[in-house]
Amino acid sequence: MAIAFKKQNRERGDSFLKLIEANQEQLYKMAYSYVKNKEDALDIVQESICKAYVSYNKVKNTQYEKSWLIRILINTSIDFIRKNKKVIPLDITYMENVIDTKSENHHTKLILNEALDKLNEKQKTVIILRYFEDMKLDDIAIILNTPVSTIKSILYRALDEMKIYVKE
Amino acid sequence: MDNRLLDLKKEYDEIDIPAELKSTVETGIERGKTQMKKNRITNKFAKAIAGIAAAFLVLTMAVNVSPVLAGAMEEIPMLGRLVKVLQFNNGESSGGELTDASDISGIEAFENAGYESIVINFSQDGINQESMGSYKITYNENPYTMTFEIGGARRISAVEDFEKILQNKNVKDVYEIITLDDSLIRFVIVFNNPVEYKVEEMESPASLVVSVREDNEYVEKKTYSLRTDSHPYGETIGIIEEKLMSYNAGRVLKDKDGLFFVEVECFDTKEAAEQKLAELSTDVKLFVEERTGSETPKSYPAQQETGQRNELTTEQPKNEQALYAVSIITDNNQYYGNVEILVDGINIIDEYNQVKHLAYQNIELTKYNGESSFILEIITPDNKINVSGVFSDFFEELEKYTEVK
Repeated sequence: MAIAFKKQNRERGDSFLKLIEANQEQLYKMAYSYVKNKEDALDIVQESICKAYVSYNKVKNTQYEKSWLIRILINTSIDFIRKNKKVIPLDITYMENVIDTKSENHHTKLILNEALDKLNEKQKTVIILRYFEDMKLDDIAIILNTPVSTIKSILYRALDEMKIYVKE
Repeated sequence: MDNRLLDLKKEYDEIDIPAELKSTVETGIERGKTQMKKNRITNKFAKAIAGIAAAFLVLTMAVNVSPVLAGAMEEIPMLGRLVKVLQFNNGESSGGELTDASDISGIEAFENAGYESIVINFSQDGINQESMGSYKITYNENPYTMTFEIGGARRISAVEDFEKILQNKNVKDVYEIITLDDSLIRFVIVFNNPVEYKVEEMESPASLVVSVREDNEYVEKKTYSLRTDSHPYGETIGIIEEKLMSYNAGRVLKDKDGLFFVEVECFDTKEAAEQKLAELSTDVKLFVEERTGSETPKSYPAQQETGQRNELTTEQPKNEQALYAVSIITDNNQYYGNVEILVDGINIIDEYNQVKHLAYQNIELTKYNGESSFILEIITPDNKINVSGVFSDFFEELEKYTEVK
């Protein structure tokens, strides 16, 4: 019995490593798009992985483990932003990126980025998942544990608000 | 719009993956592992504590909710504080304080450190007694018995618990013996073999803990028991015992046939026993029985007693069955006696065998029939006597000689 448990544990550990291996870059990028700096993004990733490791045995269906992992990251990111709302350090490389790009595109991009930042966390998350991660609305619904119809309305409202900001 | 979003996506895709990511991920996993271990330990602790707490909660709740369970728990004999380990002197030991209305309420048997133990609990008004009532314990050999005398005890509600004593492998039998004292209860435990015994008195709650184990070193010997006839459980045996009390009557025992007898004393030699028998002057028939070890005494049903009875029955035909046992009620007294129907009158014989003759011409008789008994009202010149007895041919007999209203 104990041996069987250990074996199961090891198998679980292995599949957890695989899951992290496959998704770590995506996790980083998502975290980065929330906090816009490398250090905080890495902190968030580390925190998320720690949390995920502790509760990995609660994931019964491996089909949803990726969704589950992403949900942890999103929640951790949002927590982080809320805790550090008053101080948002600006990443130097981000600034360089911004400066480096050609002026015309750069202007709209900056505006668009600003627009994106002005969205609330939920809207931002939906935009990131839908357009940056190219996820289906159904998958987003699973990750955010929200009905698809709600996801749709959040998305359209977000796009609407961005358009408004872009127009300005 | 789409273009702009595409731009944003491009930008998102181009986010540099720092070299530190790998080590960050590893640190994350390590942190997870340590946290998990901590959790496991705290979980175990929490679970254990929660378990204990839950057990207590269930127990308290159950006791409060269910009177049945509360009652059951009250009856569980518990071991209290040790008062003393009894010192046996000539196989006899006693202790306790005077009490009354005590009840032998629980008997429990368990095994402890090689000894088979029996716990006897006492209660008063359904509450476990704090300290022991007076008691006397006697250990005798051939057969090996331990006789318990519990003073101030009115009843023994744990009779069904005698079964538990019987589970003890050293115990052969356990029985209550008749006691002509309603505030004394006596019972006997018979052992299969010679035993090493230890008796402890406990308080809060009061109990006697009898621990026995087979005494293998003990050499069984032949003894000569000076004893009485066997009688069924009842007053007779109690009366015999009282008669023998002045000779330090040893013990009451149960024989092979489940009848009881009194053993006055046990002797090592037949001569000693016979000498003692010759010394004693009593109207109780005594004789010597030879026994070895745990052998159950033989049954000698009281010949004398049945002989007396035979005499009575032979007497009755002589008097043409004219003697009837009745209850006699006079103006200020009630007693048991006999009524003899004679040709010229009736004789009322009271408990002291004093005969009062009443001639038919002086009395007036009235009969009242009950369902299974009769009442005869006798009106004499001085008083009125009611005689009642169990239904029989009393009136048929009586009406042969006189008139009954």
